[in-house]
Amino acid sequence: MIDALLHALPLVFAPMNILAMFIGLIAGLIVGCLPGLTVVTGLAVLIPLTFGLDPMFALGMMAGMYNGGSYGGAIPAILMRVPGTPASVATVLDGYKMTQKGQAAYALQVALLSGVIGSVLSSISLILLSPPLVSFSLMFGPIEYFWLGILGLATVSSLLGDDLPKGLIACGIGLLIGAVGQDISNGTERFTFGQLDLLDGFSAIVLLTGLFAVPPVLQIIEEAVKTGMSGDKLKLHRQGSALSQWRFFTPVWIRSSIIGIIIGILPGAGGSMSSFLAYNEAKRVARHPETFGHGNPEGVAASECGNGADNAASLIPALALGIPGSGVAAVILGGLLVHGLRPGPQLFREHPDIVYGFMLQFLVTSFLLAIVGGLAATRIFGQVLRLPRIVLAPVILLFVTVGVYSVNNSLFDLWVLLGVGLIGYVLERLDYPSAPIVLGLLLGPMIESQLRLALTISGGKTTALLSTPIAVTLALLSAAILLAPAWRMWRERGKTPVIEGAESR
Amino acid sequence: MKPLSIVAALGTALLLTAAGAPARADYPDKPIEMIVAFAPGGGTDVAARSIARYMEKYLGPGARIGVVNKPGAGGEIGWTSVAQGKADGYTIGFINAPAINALVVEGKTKFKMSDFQPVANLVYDPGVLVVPKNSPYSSLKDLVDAAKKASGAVVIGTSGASGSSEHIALLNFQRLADTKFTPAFFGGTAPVRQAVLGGHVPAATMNLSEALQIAREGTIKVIGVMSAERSSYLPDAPTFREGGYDVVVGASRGIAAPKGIPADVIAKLEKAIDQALKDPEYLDAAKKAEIPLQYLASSDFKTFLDRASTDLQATWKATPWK
Amino acid sequence: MEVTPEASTPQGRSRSLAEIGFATLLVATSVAVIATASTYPAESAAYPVAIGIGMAVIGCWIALREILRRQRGNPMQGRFAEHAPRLAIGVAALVVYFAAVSLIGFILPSLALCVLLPAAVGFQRWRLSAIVAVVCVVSILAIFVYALERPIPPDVLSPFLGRLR
Repeated sequence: MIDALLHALPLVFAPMNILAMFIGLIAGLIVGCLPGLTVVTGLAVLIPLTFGLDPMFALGMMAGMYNGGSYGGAIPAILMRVPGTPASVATVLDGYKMTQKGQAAYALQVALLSGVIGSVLSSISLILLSPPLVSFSLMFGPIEYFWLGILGLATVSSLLGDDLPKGLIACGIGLLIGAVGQDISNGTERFTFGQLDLLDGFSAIVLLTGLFAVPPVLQIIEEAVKTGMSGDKLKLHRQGSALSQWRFFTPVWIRSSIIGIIIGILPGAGGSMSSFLAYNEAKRVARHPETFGHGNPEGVAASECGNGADNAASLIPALALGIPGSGVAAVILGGLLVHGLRPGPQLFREHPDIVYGFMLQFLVTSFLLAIVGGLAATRIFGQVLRLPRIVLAPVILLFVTVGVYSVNNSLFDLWVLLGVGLIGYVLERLDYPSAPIVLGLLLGPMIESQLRLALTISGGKTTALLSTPIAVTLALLSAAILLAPAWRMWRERGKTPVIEGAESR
Repeated sequence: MKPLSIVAALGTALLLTAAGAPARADYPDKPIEMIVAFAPGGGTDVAARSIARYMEKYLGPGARIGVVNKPGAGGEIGWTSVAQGKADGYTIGFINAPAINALVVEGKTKFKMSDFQPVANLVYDPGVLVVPKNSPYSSLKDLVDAAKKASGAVVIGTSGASGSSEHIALLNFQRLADTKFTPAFFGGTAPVRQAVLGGHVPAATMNLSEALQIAREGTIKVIGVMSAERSSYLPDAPTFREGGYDVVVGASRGIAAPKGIPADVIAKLEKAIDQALKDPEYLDAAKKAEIPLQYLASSDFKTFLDRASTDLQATWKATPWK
Repeated sequence: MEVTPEASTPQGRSRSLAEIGFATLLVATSVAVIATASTYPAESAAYPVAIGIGMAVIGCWIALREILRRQRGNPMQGRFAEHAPRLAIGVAALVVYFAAVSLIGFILPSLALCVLLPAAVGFQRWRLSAIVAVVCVVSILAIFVYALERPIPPDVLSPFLGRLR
């Protein structure tokens, strides 16, 4: 392997291939930061154009685009509360609050650095740990996925907010929306009301954009602030540097990277889950969890690091078995195929220089991202905030509209966007937390379908659900997470005096 | 430009397009819309974007094909807009048999198969039945015997949903074998491949191109190919027919237009597709990717589609899948 | 024990009523969900029905809690909207904009929105609005339509755009 890596080095650093990585990165940043455009779209357009090109050039662009796109999503999430990609939703929660507190530049830097760290660790695990991680991913069947979903939902208990019933309702709304669409195992159409557009359920990107991007537009209109942010507030040196606080962030980075890598290698777990689960975990173990959602840089770090760690890891099963760990990995797989690179163990034997070269490109583009993203994000994108706030409202709306339309090429989705946006506004004003909605939406379908698959396979025996060691472990972990707050409350009962009338604080 | 001149320019432009009826000799003299009923990045999308580039080359200088994704409802949304498109040759689209035929047979679509003018088929990817490498079953007969011993006890994972071509193939198989399998719907290729590799399901169906690599590695065994003859990509794998079950099912991707498009336009498109499929650069990429190309000209493609519809009607009568 | 940060927002009771109204709406929706889902085959119905029941119960809890608070003379404080007239303008602008986009396409309504919406709430720097409008629309067209061939809503101007290629 060391040999192959050394052989691949000159390929990776050939001037043309460095250029390819830069092009990919910049294209990725652009598609990532525009809502409705994803890396998948960018790659789909790119791959046919690479037919006649040298494989390393094509692969360099793909690696660049993947890494660039995952950070690109964080930019509008932080600056305008518009999740550029579904995976950047968790970044919105604290990132936008930081912008409101005048820490936009710092938030972008934390996001970039965390994303880079996540991708670097993920790339390293891709290069060094592929074989053991692949056998680990194969141990996941429907039973294990079911418990993974339950574990994810259990961590939601830390996101429920200050008002328990409202948090539960929010989670329920997410679960219900996730149930819309055709039931794949018998064709029953649930809550589609005969609408063809609803047969596949709502598009996650449309819902999330509506939920997060539309309410602040209304708020900006209500506030009608006619000035912009001063250029001063966009300068980094006043806000502290994430790099110098590496000690503070390291535990978050490590935990989030591990979560991102594990979700990344599991094909049955959606890509956008990793950032959310990383965020949850960071909040759960934090000493002051109540500061999350109010502009805590750790929240941004966890989300973006988990997101970045998902990238290269999702290629582990793709390269080794031909099973893509995410939608993007699936498209990259197609791109590899047209260059005659057929995934599987023999790929490593037949084209070691190209495989390891591709892995190295992931690593290199992660580092290049630090440069490109660092230069571009704050210096260019951040300047948008200097526009008078009220002018930003229509600008956000324009980009969101065209992005949402282009997802399914459908006017129906525009009305969904509007409806969800208005409901989102009401929810926000009445203090229903938005994070549980997202988690319910992402995890609900997985929990239901995997449970039913597990029961189909076991012939209806519920005992099968606890028949494997991983399943038992995941179940115990879920129980522990659910019971921990109750246990803490019970222990501290009587210690803290209950303050009546805290409402009028 | 002053506002007035912009308005004037706009007006002229609109008039020009309204007045210029398509002169067919110059076909194509404006961009052709190629509708793909699935999202960007999917198999059909990549196939469409690839062939579009080479079709442009052979349709004549300046020809442009824009791929338009209209995903949703298992392809129904996109196919509806192909069927309802203008029959002038500027709206064409990819249709995927037998999924499209199955929707029509279920009788809920706004279109009939006769609303399409088949232009050419490009890809035919037969279905396969696979088992993990250490499976107790090594042939179709083993599987059928096991299912006969305990009806419904043999679970077969499928990548599609209920009513997908694989599910229908399974229904045909169990009808011919006079037994019952339990289908488990994974809703995607990646999860079902992972499940069969990890031994979480005893057997699974997928398309040949999706099984090829892992089958060659020996991590799974292909115990039946649902095609008339053995595949040249995997000559060791027996067909269902050899096992005594006449199951021939596969996923195809072809190009169709709304019915009523002029015959000379069909001919032009047909020829461009044929030439594109023979283009050395395209052929090379397709071979490397092991895409099971199968060119069918317009009339053959129509026969093929008709046959798929008749077969499905028979299955629907015997065992409705929904 | 409730800690409600919005206690610091301006006084008023509109929020308390909205609270009850929305919770009631949730309960009604949940009941409708249960009713609709019970017509499905059992295996498809179990999951939505279970969620629906849960939501209905919690919805009642929220509504009753607020009603009891009102009776105790301690309703949830704060207003629902920060500035109701401007909120109305915003919602109306959104609805009109989406309707216009469905009818005549993306370009013209977007240019109009960028200029008119800020003006409607008192922003008078027309030139800035106009520049922003043009820059946004042009860059959207450049990236979405020309570079990536992504669709925009069917536009009355698209024949004209086709000639620009």
